[in-house]
Amino acid sequence: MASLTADIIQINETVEILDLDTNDLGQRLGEMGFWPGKSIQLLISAPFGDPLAFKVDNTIIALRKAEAKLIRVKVAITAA
Amino acid sequence: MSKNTDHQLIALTGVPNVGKTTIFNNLTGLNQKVGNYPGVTVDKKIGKLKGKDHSVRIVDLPGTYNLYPRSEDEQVVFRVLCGLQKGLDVDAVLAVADMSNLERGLFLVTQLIDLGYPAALILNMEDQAAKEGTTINRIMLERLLGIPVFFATADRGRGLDTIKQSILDSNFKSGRKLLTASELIPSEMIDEMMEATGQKNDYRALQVLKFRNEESQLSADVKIDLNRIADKYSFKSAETQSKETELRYDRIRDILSKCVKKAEKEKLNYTRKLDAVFLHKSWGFLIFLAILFLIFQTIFSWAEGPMDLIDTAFAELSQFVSTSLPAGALNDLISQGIIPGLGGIVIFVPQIALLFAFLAVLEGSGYMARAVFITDRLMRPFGLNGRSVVPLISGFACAIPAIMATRTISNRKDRLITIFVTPFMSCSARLPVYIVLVGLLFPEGDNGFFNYKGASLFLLYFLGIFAALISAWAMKQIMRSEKSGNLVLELPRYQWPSLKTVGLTMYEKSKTFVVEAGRIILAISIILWVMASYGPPEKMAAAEASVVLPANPTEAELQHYRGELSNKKLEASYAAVVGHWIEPVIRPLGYDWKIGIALVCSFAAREVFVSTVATLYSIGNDSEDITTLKQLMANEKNDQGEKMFTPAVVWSLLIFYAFAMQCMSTIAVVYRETKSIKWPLLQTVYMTVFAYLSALLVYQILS
Repeated sequence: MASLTADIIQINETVEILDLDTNDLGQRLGEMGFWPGKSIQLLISAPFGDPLAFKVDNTIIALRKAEAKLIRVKVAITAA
Repeated sequence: MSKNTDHQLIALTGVPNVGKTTIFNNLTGLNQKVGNYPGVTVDKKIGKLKGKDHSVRIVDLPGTYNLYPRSEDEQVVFRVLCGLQKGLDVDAVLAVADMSNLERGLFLVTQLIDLGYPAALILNMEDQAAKEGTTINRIMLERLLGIPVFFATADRGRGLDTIKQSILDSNFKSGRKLLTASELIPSEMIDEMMEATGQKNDYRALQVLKFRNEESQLSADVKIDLNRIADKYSFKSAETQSKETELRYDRIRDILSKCVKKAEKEKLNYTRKLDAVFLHKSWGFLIFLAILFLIFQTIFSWAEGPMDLIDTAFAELSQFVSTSLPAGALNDLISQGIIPGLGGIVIFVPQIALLFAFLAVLEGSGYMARAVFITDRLMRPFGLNGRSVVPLISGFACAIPAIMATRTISNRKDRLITIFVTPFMSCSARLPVYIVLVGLLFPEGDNGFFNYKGASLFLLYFLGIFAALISAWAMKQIMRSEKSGNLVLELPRYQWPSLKTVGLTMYEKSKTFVVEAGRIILAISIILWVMASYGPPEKMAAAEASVVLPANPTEAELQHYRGELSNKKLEASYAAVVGHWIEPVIRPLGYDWKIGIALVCSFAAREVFVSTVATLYSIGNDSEDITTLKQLMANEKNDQGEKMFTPAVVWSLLIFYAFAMQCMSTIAVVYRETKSIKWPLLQTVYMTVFAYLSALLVYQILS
């Protein structure tokens, strides 16, 4: 099982959140629904590849790459 | 509740983008009052829901995801709901959540219940949830939360009648607490904290303790007390909060597993399809630019009709008054001072209403957040971020609400830069100046399909954006860098904007303009008229003596005499004294003393330029011969008898108005937002110098 950060996953890839950075920003992401165990999908990136739009639950949340880096995710091996 | 419901205050709360504003507008209609919370610049919207025999007051709180305040908006919600806002004692809470997104919505709702408020919950966007295959067992959710739950589709007005009746019947219940403070901290600590804060609810006391250092409404004594308690129990704010978030989400998921059924359908279908277009790597920007361009073209063509109508109406009114009242100073004051002054205000209502209608549509449709998304990367090199785009775009309407909108930027440096450069965006008060001047450049307007006026306008707006960006870049270099900003932004589902919200925005903004800005404009128009009509007595007498009326004059000679007399008198007036005084400074820009008067007076507000010029030039003419301002200006000659408003002069003026601060209200708002005299001062000097040098350059090149 490989672990990555959410800023480098592929468009349309769905991954499960492992954990988040413990700083204030990480905490804030947690309150917005980025919670360990939850699946997120990268939907689209803005014209210069940054920010990124993730599907979380039933909402779309945009994060900058630097923020997505705070989210550690696990990539499903079965998909590969 | 036994309390007389006429005085009952209900707080309307919810996560952003759940249709809270639509619900508020539906409940209260035109019975709204917009004020300000003391010390901050967050709008305080209070409306009345009227029933048959009594009414209820509703306060519309800014949208927040939770009660952990990070921005000024969130601070206000926190303050009101923890009972720290004097004069706003909330009796019950009406929460709004998106039915297809309950997990996050319930986070706030359960916090509200834990605060001890009687509450009710509206699950909005029911039709959307149904389309996505989400069904909710309402009775079960009511039982689990312990509060009344309603379904609604506010956009279509569905479900709102039941909710209205329920509010009037005070159908709010204190729900089942999801968690208590004792699960997070020792119970002795809770007792001490409740005593120190005077709060009767454990969770409220905990919240106040957590955010004690950011909260200005707490007395120094209470803060010292709370800090002592925090030290005594070695309280760790971040850890407590993290634990609370975890517990809360766990329990919410448990509740939802018992009452929500979701079909495995592809969600956000049309939103994703639309995003593929609007957020496309290359078309995205083109669409964004096209939308802006279309807005300005439309404002120009749609506003023209009503504006001409208003123009004619005021001209006729002025004519009617001047012929029906006995001649004299009072007649002159009304027909030449007050009526043209009023006309100069009302004429811009069509444009302001249209611009705010477009902004409301962009906001309401969900596109505004996309504009933030696609521009964020572009804005960053300039020291701005995507969130700066909304204030900057709002700056097209008016810098004042735009600067107030910068509150959502949490990074202080980004926010200061945005505030500093926002007044460069061409606001609606510049439009009147642009329209009159561009009209002088291109009397015909178009050659079939290409509109020169529209293109010139686009160029001016573009220059404003350009000036804003290079100034922001310069500031980024100068200001010491703090930690970089962040962007956590929800891209809401696309939806049809609510017509009621668009309508109310148009009404509210037009009213604010007429009442607030209008007052200043009218006062200055009158002062100006007096200044232009009276002067130092000996000079005025000499001016009158210098013009001789021939014996037995013909009609033409009489006409000429009157015109000559007015001109000489104007040249001897107090207004001329001021105009002559500043003339040496503005001569290099191609301006004469008459324009000088307009420049000085329009420092109060840019649009005063037009009413000033109107007053100045209508006095120079026979009042019975009413022509439009543009014609008067086009016929104006300079001292050498050449045309005054040459293209070089007009462009120089346009550039000056595009860049100069020229707005006392903006300066006041910047002072309030930055809480320092340094920023507004620096900004005013910078913009004035920038404008002067640019206008100088343009005039010297073109002439």
